[in-house]
Amino acid sequence: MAVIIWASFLWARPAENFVGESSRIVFYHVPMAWVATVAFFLAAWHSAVYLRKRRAESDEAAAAAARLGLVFCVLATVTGAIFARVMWNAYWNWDPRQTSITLLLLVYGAYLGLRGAIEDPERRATLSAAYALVAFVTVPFLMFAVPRMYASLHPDTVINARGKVEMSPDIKTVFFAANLAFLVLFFWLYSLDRKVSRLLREARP
Amino acid sequence: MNPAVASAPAPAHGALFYVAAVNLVIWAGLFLYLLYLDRKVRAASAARPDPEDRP
Repeated sequence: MAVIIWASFLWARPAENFVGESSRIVFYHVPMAWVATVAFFLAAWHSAVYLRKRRAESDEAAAAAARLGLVFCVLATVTGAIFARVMWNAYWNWDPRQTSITLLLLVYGAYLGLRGAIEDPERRATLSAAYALVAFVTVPFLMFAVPRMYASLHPDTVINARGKVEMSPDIKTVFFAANLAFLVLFFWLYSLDRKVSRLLREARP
Repeated sequence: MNPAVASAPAPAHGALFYVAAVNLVIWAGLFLYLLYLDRKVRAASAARPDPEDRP
């Protein structure tokens, strides 16, 4: 991770069509959104497994993934707002990207709210698993479809409309390395969360 | 765009400060998550019966 930070500041050159050095924010902002998408997928996957097998571990795995996904989603929103301040001179302007990520935060915030509101562990697991499956239906729509359906100030997607990744080699290297590094960091935090949840379950009478 | 916000002065520098701010936000967020996990570990340790109490 230290190498990624060093490379993002000192090795990769700033991209064209960005204000000053602001293109470097992309090395951090995009991985946050990408990891959040992976986390929400994992939450849906483990929820489906829970509904099939009714194992407490699957419920804990789904909850951990949704929690971490929400953390990364909040970080993507805040870092995106900072990027917006540099590029468009305002932290927030209800751009389609900003609107859709806000909706996503509300959808997964409600998931955690639902979990917190139900005392009975089995009922909580069943209802939140069903909710997580429905919630994941909104992810491709809000993350990928909406921002492409409406005119947006947001820069081109990584794989653009022509199906190409148009970045200079140094930027591309740091960008994909950062995505991989944050994904590894996510899986480390995710495994920690799952272990702690298992400890808590075993400790309770 | 909100015109009142749009009239705010644009960053007149290389924007490196903003890149540093993004870093700070991310590491602070992940640190808070680790603190949350630490709290859960403490709760698990507190809920676990003391081995000396076992018969």
